[in-house]
Amino acid sequence: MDDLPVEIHLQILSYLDLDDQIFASDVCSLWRTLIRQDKGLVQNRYLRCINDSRLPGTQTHKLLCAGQEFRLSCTVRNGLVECYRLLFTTDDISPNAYDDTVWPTRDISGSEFLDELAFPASFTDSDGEIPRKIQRALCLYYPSRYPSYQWATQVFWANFLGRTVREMVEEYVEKSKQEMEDGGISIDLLQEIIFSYVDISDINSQPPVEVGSLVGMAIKRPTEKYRSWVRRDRCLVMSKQTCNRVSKRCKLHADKASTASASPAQSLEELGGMTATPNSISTI
Amino acid sequence: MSTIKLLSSDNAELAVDKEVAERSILIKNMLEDVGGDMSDQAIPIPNVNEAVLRKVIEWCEHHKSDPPPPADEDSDSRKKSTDIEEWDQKFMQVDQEMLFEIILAANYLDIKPLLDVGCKTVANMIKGKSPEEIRKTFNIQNDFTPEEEDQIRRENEWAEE
Repeated sequence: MDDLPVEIHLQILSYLDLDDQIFASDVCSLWRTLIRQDKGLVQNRYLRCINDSRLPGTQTHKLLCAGQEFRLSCTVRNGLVECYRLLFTTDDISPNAYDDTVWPTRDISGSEFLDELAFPASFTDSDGEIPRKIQRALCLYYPSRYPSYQWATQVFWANFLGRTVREMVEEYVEKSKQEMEDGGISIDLLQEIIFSYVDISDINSQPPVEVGSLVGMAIKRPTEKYRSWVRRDRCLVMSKQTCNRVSKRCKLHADKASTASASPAQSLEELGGMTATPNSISTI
Repeated sequence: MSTIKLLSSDNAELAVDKEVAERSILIKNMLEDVGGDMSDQAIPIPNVNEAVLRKVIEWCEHHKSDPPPPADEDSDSRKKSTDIEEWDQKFMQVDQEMLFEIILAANYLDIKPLLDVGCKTVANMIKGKSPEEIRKTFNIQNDFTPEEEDQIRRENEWAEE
């Protein structure tokens, strides 16, 4: 393998999807450099969700796109992200079927892929795109009263251009925490968030509006089976140093959010037809 | 159907249909340059030994009537398929040394579809493996500098305590 020229290494790596790229980048320094820096390989980590020529070039990091063989799952404790994982399932995720299910996972908490842009403006920016408005909504579904699984929905808007996947997720969790506290819901309910991403566009408005919706499902994992799994899983143990880092970061976001003119939370209903319901999540 | 002769790096002379040999763009261009008539002179292939050259010819025979590959696949961000047709899968069931030799030969001889199949085969061997397993599979040296090792360790500190 050492004898192969670089362009062949590059071609081999080009066949890897994001989950395998993460692990291949820890194999040797050549692969690490190629995977991180080669433009084509970077682009492999993004998906164009909207296929409409009037909304060109919009890319979403695959960590956030559902409908692949994996989803991004975050384990949360006391409102802080403890662990980022890829969760390997193509199953429909419904809250009721969910609480007992344990899928294969891979810890990617340290992966630099989490520090890549969630939504790069475009890979082909310059050539006179239609000016468009991009809004990203974060929706969180969570069971408001375990175990009855009454679903509540919160939506908040923000401009996530220029933000990394990790920053987005942490802000998301932070906001979810606030919402839950404001709603008088115990923060303990927020144990795991599984992300789906729904791209919705409104091409009839001028300029066309792309409404991206990051959908997190907050899951309380109540069963003994899950709890024992969590205990066994050593990646759930967070070092003190990391814990400090995470809480610092969350604080930073909270400060940022309060200084920026925070847009008010909207309910999904205000979006008219552009709503995502728990049912539609499972069909993504 | 005219036949040409190829001379491997270890001096074996192999007779091949011109049409089959022209799956190699290198050979095709070479034949065009000399005006087509190479019937009594073997074309030297200095980078490829007999065993590998036979294997490559076997592939070219099987694929001699394939339509030409589409010009430059568009490099969309979509996941590239690593599906390999059944015959090619069987063809690629060789030891690793031979697999890499075939890839190098396909690269040198400029046989893009064969190069693609070879690279896909390797990619499929990488999929689903941890870094350590990948290194073991391909006997790759962990060549990270102490600084890089340190960085990887730091990244993975989440998993340690």
